[in-house]
Amino acid sequence: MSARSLRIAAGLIVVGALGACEFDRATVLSPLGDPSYDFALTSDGRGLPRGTVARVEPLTDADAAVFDTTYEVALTGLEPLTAGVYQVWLGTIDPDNPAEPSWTPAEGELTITRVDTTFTPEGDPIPDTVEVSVTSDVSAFTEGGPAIHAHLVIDRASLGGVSPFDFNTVLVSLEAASGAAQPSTDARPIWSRATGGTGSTRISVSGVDTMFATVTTTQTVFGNFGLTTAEEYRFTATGRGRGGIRGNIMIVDDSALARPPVGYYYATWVVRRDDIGTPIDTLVLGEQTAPFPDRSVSLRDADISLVHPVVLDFPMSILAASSRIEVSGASPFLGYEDVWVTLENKLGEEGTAAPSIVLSGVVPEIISAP
Amino acid sequence: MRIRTALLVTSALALPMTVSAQWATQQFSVTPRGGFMTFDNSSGIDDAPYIGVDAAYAVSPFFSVGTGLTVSRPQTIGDYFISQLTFGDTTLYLAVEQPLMMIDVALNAQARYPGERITPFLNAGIGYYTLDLDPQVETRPERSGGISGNIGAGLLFRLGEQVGIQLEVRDVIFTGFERDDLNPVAAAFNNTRYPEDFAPPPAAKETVHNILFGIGFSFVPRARQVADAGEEDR
Repeated sequence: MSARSLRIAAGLIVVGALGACEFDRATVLSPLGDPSYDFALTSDGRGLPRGTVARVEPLTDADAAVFDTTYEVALTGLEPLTAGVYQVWLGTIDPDNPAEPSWTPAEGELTITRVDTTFTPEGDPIPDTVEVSVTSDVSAFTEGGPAIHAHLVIDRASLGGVSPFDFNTVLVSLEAASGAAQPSTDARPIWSRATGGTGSTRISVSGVDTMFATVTTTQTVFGNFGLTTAEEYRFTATGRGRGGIRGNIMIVDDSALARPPVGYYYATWVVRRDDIGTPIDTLVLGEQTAPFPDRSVSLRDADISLVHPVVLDFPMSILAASSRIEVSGASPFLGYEDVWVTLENKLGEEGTAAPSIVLSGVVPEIISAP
Repeated sequence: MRIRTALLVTSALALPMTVSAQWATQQFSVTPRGGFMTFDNSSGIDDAPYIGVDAAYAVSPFFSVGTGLTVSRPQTIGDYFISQLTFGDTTLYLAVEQPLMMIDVALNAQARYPGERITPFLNAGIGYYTLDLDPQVETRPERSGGISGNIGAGLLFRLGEQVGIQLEVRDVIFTGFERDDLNPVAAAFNNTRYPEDFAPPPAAKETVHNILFGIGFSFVPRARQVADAGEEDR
């Protein structure tokens, strides 16, 4: 071994050692693709199914001769149904024996109206109620929509001589078809009990006579009907969330939602409006799912079963839910301004948003109107 | 039984060989070495050069024991550690890397089959490795480590009585490896909103195999003296 070999060997080692060393400061943060433009989702509660039941009772026998006892059921916030009907029932529930109620279809005269709202040049709304249809001797209907009102008047004549006041409960159930003999055991989302309410006196003038009636109005309740108040579940629009748009992907994550009433589920929509703010198009994110990594688990049946650990029985809530969509094309969310999480009726049309908005958010302008 | 058979076979093969002075019994050798280290794909550590040194004592012409030191400065793979940082209503997604100082010390044994110019050998050893994380990224000194092992093979090309060049491949095995220890991203900044839009890293493993390709320069300080003494004896 010569000294020359040793020097070569030593030189190679030094070169190798220098090559193995990195003297520059490492880059520790490297951007990965597009940023996400985020928005908040807040509790909304617009357009939930709601209504009133007015019990109209003549003051005197003279009044009763021309103005019979009547139930007036007014409902709005309903989604139009394509695979079933809203069935209205009158029921008698004995407080001492609530387990054996009796139900009768609440046949009466149904008036469907639509409220068309226009705006003055100053921006003041001008509501215009348009009568859509009037149908006698019906207890079921399918109509609904954001401006649709259903008004059902039930009296002794429409019930075949039975006084509506013989019943103490008004119930709306979801049925596959009209003509059911008994209300569905599951989907009973709207009801009113003939207790409490606010009273007023109605004066009606007919010809030369003036009639007086006592009107007691109660608000309907939306949720899951129970034979006793202890068994019922009252739905309240709760929750919050956060959404984001990253490139062609939109994600909505929400939490602390109330479990939907039986027959309902949550879905997410993105809405595009015209110049005066009228919705003209929707992008369907579809029914909400469990969050990552269980996005394949739909929460559509969270109303009737614990489909995922995020769905709780007590309290009746959904801890977390999510929607995700990936669309093609350049600027696919251009023009879309609103994000809605709605409460959809399972018997309603799948591709149309229900009027019941539980959470809402606004798409950042950098996306919707850059 | 199996070991005894292996020893007999090795001895039989060795008998006709001419043992060079470099592999004389009771000789020390020093082998500085360097090369490239490819870390296990699941480790989250990027490939990097390394340097090291082995010191060995020849128990016999065919067997030596010693120590080894391997040092490398790899980077973690940022795609494995993704952070989301939110500024107002904008969230940035970032790959977070950090430089590491990897040190592996080991007690090694080497079995070899000495030849005139080329000596194939097998290495095996056990030791301890440490991974020192970057204190600026971690905001404090952090170290991870565990028992290591290595097993490898190579060829030594003899250049003279004292010096040889060796080429080797070695599997440096880290046990008790915790990839999460290398993650500088606090839980609050983990990517929770778009997890499926970034390729998930391979499943983490507790035992990772890192393949090391190296070249070394074997130097036997007393080989010349032993050779000279042998000639004088003749």
